Amino acid sequence: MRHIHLEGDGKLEKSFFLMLQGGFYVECPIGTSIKEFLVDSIGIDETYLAEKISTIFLDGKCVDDIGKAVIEEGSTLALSSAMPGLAGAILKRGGPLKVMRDGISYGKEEKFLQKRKGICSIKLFNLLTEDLGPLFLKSGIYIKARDLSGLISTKSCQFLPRDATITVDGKSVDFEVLLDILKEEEDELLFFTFDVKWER
Amino acid sequence: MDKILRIDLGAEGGPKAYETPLGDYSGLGGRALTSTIVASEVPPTCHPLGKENKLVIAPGLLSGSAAAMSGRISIGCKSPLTGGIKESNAGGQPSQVLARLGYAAIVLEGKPKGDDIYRVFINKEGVKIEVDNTLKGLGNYGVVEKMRAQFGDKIACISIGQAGEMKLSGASIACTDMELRPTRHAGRGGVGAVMGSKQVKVIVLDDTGMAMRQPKDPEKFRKANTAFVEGLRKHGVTGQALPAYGTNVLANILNEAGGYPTYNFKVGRFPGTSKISGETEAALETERGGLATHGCHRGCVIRCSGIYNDKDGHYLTKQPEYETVWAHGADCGIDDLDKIAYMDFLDDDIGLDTIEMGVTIGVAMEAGLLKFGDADGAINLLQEIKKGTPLGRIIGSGAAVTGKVFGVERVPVVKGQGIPAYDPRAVKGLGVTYATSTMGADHTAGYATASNILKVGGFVDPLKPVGQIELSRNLQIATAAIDSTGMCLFIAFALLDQPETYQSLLDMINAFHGISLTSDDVVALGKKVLKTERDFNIRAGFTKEMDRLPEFFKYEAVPPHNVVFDVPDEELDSVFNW
Ligand code: SF4
Repeated sequence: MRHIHLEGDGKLEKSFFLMLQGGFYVECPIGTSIKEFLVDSIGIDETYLAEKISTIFLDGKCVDDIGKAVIEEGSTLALSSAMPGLAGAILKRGGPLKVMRDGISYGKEEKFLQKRKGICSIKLFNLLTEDLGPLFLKSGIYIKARDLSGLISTKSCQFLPRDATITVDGKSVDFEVLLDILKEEEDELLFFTFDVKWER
Repeated sequence: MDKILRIDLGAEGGPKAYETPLGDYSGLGGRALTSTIVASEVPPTCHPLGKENKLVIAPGLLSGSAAAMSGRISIGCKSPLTGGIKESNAGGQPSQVLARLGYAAIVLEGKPKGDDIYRVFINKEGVKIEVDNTLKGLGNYGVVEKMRAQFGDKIACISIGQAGEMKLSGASIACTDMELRPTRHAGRGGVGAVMGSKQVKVIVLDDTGMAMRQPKDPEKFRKANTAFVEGLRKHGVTGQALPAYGTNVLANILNEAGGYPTYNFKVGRFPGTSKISGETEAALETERGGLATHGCHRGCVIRCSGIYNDKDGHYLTKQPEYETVWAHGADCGIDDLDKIAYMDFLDDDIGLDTIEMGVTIGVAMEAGLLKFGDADGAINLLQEIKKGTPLGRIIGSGAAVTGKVFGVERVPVVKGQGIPAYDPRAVKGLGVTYATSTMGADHTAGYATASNILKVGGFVDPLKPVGQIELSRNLQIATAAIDSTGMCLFIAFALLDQPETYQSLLDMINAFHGISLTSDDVVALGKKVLKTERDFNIRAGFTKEMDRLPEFFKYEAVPPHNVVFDVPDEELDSVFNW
């Protein structure tokens, strides 16, 4: 698997946030609760989790109790801040209107799975992309080459500031070469990291 | 704001304006006022396009003052789409301007003889009603440009496009925004057709020389307004999510929940969601030099709207809202944001309800008239409406009519009105509201998530399971109450979580009017409005059998969660038992 690494400024990093809404993969501890995963493995602050991550879906089901909902192999975990409107209030975790979506709520029964390393998919929405995006991009995410090329192929090479650097498997390459690689391997998974080296 | 301006379009010798005191309607604003006037003055069995129907346009209780978020305008009538009572509200500038001109409402009544169309101009000198046949056949943008040339840019306009002139049931009424563009619409229920039946193309409002409305207790009012604004700014939804991304921020989460109706409600997830989400839309707007954060009227502090520019950086339309992007997008299988934005522009110009049009085109796609995903075909259908071709008139009449004409069984409507952007099988509580609302399928009918704070039907303990019927009832009551203040419904989230913000809203109303409204009074008002509306519908011939979702929702499970709408009819019938 290829490792693509970019270094640039915070503005460039921000351009990759949109990609995070479509989903990406990370290594995760299967059999642990969402709370354990986000706090212990990812390093999200507990207060932030309690106050800002107000809407959570595990495999499309609305989660109310993050201490009980368990990550399985291949699970998709979607994280969002509080959302507007009646639908937003209904989908909010533990909200007073949760009964209005009981057909799609995460079940109450506790699951016990053997704890082990695995892979799950994460989707980051709205305000959380800006807050948590840097965390994931720094430690690295697995994405389809197509998803990365989908984001950057629409941009001209001016999209990359002159002082940004791209390395593929440790070798420095330019923007066009990166595009060629992504096109050639569009169905392949790659490991992507981004480091903010300076702020403008 | 102690008088009503009535315009009798059918008066002997031509349309005449006269004023009446508020009388029994005193103390009412927004939806409470429109629905009460319609219920007491319009015969429920009249033809919606006939002389006995009335079009009532009312600002809110605090419109025209310095109160934040007070610029919604309510438009009521008997609906040509549902056959029942209708209140449809919009943002934009007209509410503030109309209130400063001193009117609690404008009522268009009667029906003109002949086929002239009229322009109404209202300023501090009075009212002028003139024939202006040069406006015939114009879209809303063209009408407003003409008004700008004639009256300058210190005006606000309420107008109809070609759809309203053709009296199509999907026709909306446009209100101009801060830039004097006709982008804010009272969309639902075919209110534009009723304005068209009165042959009034545009109402031009000019409040030059009129002062801002002053509160009875300025100091208390100022303090309450400051606290109210602080409450909105500090809340995550009203202070961050809505300003940053607009209402379309909901697309991703509804899609994730499997409640994002796709391909005419066949599935609950759309593969192209991230191409049309609020996050993508806001980024594109910023990149193209538009605006991702913008108010629809002066005095809005949430600013959930924006400006959408085309690829070359030129204005195309205002930021299309969640329901619009869904209707023209996922429901029709279209994932091209530029084409969706262009359809939003066409809807605004022709004067069409974006939800009804998206749902209708979805039904036309199901009928095989065009393929799901065919964005150019969808644009052509809107152009057909503009041209007034027979096909265009069918589409412009909404999903129920289109479904009948093309023999489609799966038509997502309640009481003839298209179901909006939340699948009622996934979010069943919303299904209860769609089914039972006095307005037909309407996502805003139970929008006031603040019912808990309002203590509608007693305090709902968040830890105690309460049925969806009870919750839907409470939400509908709370919504009717907030609609009656004329405040933007998006304040509801901050009210839900912050009791002190709700209190500051009450304080603001009380300080302004010198009254002592309590939370109980607000709830009582909400109940009264709903009762009035429901009573009108019963007198118009509605029965409990009309409080139902289309039957395919009961037996067709929606993926990915494969759920059906299984709330029993008897439970639906108990929503209005209080
Ligand atoms: S929050 Fe949005 S809809 Fe409400 S008044 Fe402001 S811009 Fe208009």
